Amino acid sequence: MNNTFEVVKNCVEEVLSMNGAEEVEIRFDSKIVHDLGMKSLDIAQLIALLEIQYEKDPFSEGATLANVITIADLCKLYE
Amino acid sequence: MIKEERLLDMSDVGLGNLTEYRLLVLLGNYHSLCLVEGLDIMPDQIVDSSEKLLYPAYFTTHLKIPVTNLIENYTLWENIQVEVDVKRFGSNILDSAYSFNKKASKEELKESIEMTSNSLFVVDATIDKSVERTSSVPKSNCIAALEKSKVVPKALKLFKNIRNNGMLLEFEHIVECPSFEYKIVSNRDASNNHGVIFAKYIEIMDICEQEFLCSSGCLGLPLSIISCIHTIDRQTFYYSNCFADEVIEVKLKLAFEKCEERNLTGEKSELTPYRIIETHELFNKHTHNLVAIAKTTKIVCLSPKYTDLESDINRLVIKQRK
Repeated sequence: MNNTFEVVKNCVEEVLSMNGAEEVEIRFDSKIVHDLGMKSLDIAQLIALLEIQYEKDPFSEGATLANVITIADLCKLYE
Repeated sequence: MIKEERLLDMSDVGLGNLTEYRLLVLLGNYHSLCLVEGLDIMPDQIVDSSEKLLYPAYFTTHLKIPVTNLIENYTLWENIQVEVDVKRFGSNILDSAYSFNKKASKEELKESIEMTSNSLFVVDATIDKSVERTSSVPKSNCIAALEKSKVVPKALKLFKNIRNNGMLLEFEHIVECPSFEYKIVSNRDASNNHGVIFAKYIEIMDICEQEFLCSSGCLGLPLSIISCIHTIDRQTFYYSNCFADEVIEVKLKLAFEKCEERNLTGEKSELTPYRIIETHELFNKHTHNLVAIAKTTKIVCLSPKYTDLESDINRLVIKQRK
């Protein structure tokens, strides 16, 4: 769980740094859109980075992007 | 990947020549077909796991045209070859490369027109207004088996950087125009209730550029200059879309420079050409949302019949700045 969170957190930071955003606290219960300010393209990029990390695409296996609200939701898909 | 040879017909070029807008639409068609290649569905049948319709929304395009193979030299019934290769970055970003050329023998083949683009699958909210226009992932049986890319598309970083910093024109003499307004007319610029196709923004940029170059309140160059101007490079970043009846505000900056080289296009009779480098920023006038930013390089090639134009450009643009 902790390891997955760290990997997800690093990927989120990589995406946000590209936006030129100031440092944001990323918690397990952070809401991806409302708390972290990630837009559609950011989320798409995040998923791509996670796919490279885990060599796994949970969305092609049936997961729904609309159900991913928090960092915790995302972590569950890669555990 | 799609590789095809065919004739340019009236649906591509009307009765005349190819234009940048028409070329982008043509490449966009092949891009869409690539997404369902080998499947028993059409591009407008791509859905996500909740059966919501998806379409690829372009967020960058970069068109590069060799000066020896200008778009305007393609005419009706010309035999052409098109190649489109689409890769997926993650589940819903597309990284695409295009090549376009006249069909010719190896010896006669010119350098190809090339384009790259990036797009994102988004939910189509045109028919069902209750759905949110957000990104989503195509169901596995609704998308062709596209090669996966493990490299972050270069234009993605640039897309964000340009949003933060804008496009810079690094020239000493930059002409800044008053902003222009363009109304999106229903069933002319966009179908009713549908967004504007990405290629249309290129056409709007050119309309504003022509207005600036030739209207008496601006540079006031003769109208004949329009047929002498050719795009050789245009990188566009699309940030939002507009719909019929909305008004786009266009901000344009440009710089003219005289090219050192002669006979760029290979036409021996050509006079010294000029280069125009310009940036466009398009906004939705009502919401103030940024719609697109583009940087374009064009050449102005003057044949001997336009000798006077060279003097006009010198008098109205080059000398005026000093």
